[in-house]
Amino acid sequence: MSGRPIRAAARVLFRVAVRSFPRAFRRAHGGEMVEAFDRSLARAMERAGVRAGLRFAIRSAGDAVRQGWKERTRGAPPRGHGGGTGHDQGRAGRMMRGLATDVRLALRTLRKNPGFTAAATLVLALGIGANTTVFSALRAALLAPPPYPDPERLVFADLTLVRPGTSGAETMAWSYPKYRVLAEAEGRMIDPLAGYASRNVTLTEAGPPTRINVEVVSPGYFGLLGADPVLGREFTAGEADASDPPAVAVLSHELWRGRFSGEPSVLGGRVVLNGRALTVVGVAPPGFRGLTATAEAWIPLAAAGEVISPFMVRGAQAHWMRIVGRLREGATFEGAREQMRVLGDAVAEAHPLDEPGGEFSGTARRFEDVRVNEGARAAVLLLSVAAGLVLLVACANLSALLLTRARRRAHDGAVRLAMGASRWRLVRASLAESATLAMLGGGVGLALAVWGTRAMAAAWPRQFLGSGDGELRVVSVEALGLDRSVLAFGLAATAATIALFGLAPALRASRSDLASRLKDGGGGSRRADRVLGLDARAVLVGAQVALALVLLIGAGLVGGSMRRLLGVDVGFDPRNLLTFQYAIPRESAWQDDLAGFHEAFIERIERLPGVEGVALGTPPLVGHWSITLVNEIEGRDPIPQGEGPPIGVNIVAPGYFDVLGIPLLRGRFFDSSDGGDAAPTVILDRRAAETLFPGGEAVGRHVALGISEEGKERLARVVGVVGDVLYQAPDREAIPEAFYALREFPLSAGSLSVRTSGEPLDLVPAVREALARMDPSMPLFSISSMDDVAARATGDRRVVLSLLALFAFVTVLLAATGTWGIVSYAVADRRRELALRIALGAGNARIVKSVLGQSLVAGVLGLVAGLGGAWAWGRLLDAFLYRTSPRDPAAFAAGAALLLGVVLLASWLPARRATRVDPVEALKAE
Amino acid sequence: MTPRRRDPREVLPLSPPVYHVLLALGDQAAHGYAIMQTFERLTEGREQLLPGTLYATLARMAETGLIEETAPAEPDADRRRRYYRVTPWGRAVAAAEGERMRLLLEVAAARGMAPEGA
Repeated sequence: MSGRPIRAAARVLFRVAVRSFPRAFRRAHGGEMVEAFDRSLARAMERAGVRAGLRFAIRSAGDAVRQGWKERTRGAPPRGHGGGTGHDQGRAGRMMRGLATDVRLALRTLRKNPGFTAAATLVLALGIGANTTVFSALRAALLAPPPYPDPERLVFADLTLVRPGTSGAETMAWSYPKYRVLAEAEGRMIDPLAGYASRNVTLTEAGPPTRINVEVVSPGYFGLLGADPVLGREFTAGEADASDPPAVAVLSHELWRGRFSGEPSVLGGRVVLNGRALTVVGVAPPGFRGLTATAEAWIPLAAAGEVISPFMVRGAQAHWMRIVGRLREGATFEGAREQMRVLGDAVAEAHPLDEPGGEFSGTARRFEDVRVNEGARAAVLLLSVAAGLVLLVACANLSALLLTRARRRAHDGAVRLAMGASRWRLVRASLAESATLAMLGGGVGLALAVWGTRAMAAAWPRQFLGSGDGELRVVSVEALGLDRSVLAFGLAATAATIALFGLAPALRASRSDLASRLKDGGGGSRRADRVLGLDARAVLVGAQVALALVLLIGAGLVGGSMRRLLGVDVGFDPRNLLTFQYAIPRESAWQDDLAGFHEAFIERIERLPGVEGVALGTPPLVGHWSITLVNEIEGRDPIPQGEGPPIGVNIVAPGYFDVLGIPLLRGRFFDSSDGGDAAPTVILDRRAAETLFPGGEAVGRHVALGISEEGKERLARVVGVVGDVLYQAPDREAIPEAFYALREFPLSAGSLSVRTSGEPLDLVPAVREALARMDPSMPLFSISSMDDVAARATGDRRVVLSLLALFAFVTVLLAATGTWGIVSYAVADRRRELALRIALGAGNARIVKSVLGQSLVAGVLGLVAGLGGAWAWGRLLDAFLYRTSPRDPAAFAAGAALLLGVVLLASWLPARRATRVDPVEALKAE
Repeated sequence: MTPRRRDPREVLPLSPPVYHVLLALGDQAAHGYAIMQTFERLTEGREQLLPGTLYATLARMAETGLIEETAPAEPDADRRRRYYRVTPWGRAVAAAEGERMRLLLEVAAARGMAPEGA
């Protein structure tokens, strides 16, 4: 391990120690004390290495605790002379000194047994480290209050849609006209409220053209979130009127500092978004990027029609924004939710659904319930439980270890009792040893957690933990880290550990039957610790086996799902593909010949070295370009409006199928004859052909989809059928897909997939240059390799699986060492007896059986209990399984078999030694 | 609290950290971390003041008037830190402690229990 995590952990340790000082003292000197520590630590590590630094840290922490305690117990007015010499009398002082003695003793004992100490520290560190790491995610995702004032009063006002024949209401985004109805309603309990949505726009002027995210928001949005602009103002109520669109914008602090050099004169200046000039009226506070956490600028809702699309303010059924608000003084959440139902009905009356059968209404949700999506919630809870199991296994393992030691030292204890030590004293000494071990383990565990949270933040896909409902991103992966509450959790886990693994040996220490112990020599009585007739350590081993099996089966189930997901036929060849998008600005001269631009650009890219082919059209796996409904199918009864089957639509240039490796099943691909003035043509994938023309030939038939424009022939002729392609993540239900030729529907934005001979991302600079040659104002965005796209599609499972697998591995290892330990001990403990048996002619098999008995019974009982546990926790796993039952018998059998094998091996290896006992030696030694 | 009229010998012996702070400060004004560093340097790294002890000691010494808070000497000093200097009373106490130690050392030398040249 390098010095940095150690330094971080040492700082944490010292900070905790400093807390023993009274608050007033800390306020006056705490900051300086920590700084002085930190600098001294850095110097010590630089000069004398990590070990010296660690020594300094531990000494300093101990010193701070002592001094802090003194400072607290001083209480009385200061004595006349300058130094506290530490003659504190009274109970507290005596107790502290007694404790110090115990801890010193414990440290001495631990130092004398470095192997034991290292093993115990490692076991604990793994348990505490795993828990602290996972807790940091749990806290960030579910526990920490959102970073806004009075977060408990923040609510989402939701529009809902109930469709006939479906159960439950679907939560909808709001349209601008519907938002206006709600915003103008009198006596709302959610007041103020603000609409918001994130959109991608092109920023030009004052630098190269770039795509940035803007938030389209209501006046009052900033005030609602307690993020008043640091410069200028936010949008005013007067800027909410879409009939007189306000041409104003607020910039993020970062955009202002970066692109506008942080000049206050930016106020009143202009910013150009999508070719529209807007007046800058304010600058947001540093770090504030809106509820979607990605905004570089804000424009008023009413301006969206001008800057983005007129449809956004006009269309009553164009649902695109979410509404967040605050409960008014005195209003309850339940009351507000009830009122939202009434207001939602009023909205539905003002702007009814234009297709039959659906019914709008309203409801409210608490902000904290919306901030992470269900997947993230499930992942965090699952991992918390899993980490808890790891800690339990660690405790059981350690407990067994300590019991073994306690048994070996029973004789010492008996001697001490005989010499007049009190039983309480023995319990205390034993507890002190456990506590000291827990502290050591906790310290190393925290260092592991520092490293672990960093690793987790790096591995956790951004869109996963970050995304709540409605583009909300309150939780950022960057927020994962060790703060006060995570630290407190780590310490609590350590304390719980002391109680869990320290208590049994401590009680045992007190329960000493003096005479028999002294008579018994070193071995200790074997009848001592029994639970249900089994050796207490065997029970502990059984528990470890059980818990390890639960984790092992869980990892197996998620792993199997992952394998199945990766094995799904995506219908194209994802290797060596670069994907990216570009947009043709509204003011560009190319607007009159959009298809011409795309074709010219494709040609340029095709000529670049290392390019094997270029496909224009939405690439697979990133989501459908559009999903629409089938309106008419040749030879079938007319389909009532809005009731046709859903179908994905993609607009592609000739060559798309070839380059992506999508096979042609029947008919032909597009060529230069398709599109333009020719009769419309369409290509279907196999799924679509089978849905639309079941049992018949699709090629040559006609179909009309919801994409058809006015003035065009509605029906398109099917010219080809291609293999099925997945446009969504493989775990979503596949939707049939239809393809139109680019010349049929020229788009002002393009998605390219470029097949390369080498590493796809290496091509990016050349592509950028090619685009700049055609039009320097055009931005390139969403650049990604198909490998990354595919990885994102399984992203949340990947994190869950790797952590589960790691946890399972650790617990299986612990269970194995636990088993090993108990059998080895049984062999050593019974040397005399075994020697006698061998001398009397017992066979090897008998000998092995006699030492294996206990551990095998415990192991098998553990396996049975583990199967039960895995059965019970299946529900937690459900969210991460793909076409796998949480009670998949194969996974259960495989996990149990694997663990049984491990237990057998871990028992058999030390048991073998029993047969090698040399009877003469063993008996002579007595 | 005005302990200055009293005989400095009344508060002897000083606890080691107190004496160490007085020695490290000398006639300079310094903040806590500087005191730690100076002391380490003066003792050639053989003695160390740990931060907990140091700040607890500083607070107590300021209370009892051995040292006092002061403005830093350098104009560009760190404003967030507290700077201390030895009061005349502190100086008198330190001198008394030195005197006490010298006496002890002489006794030790006479008994052959002190290092050469002390």
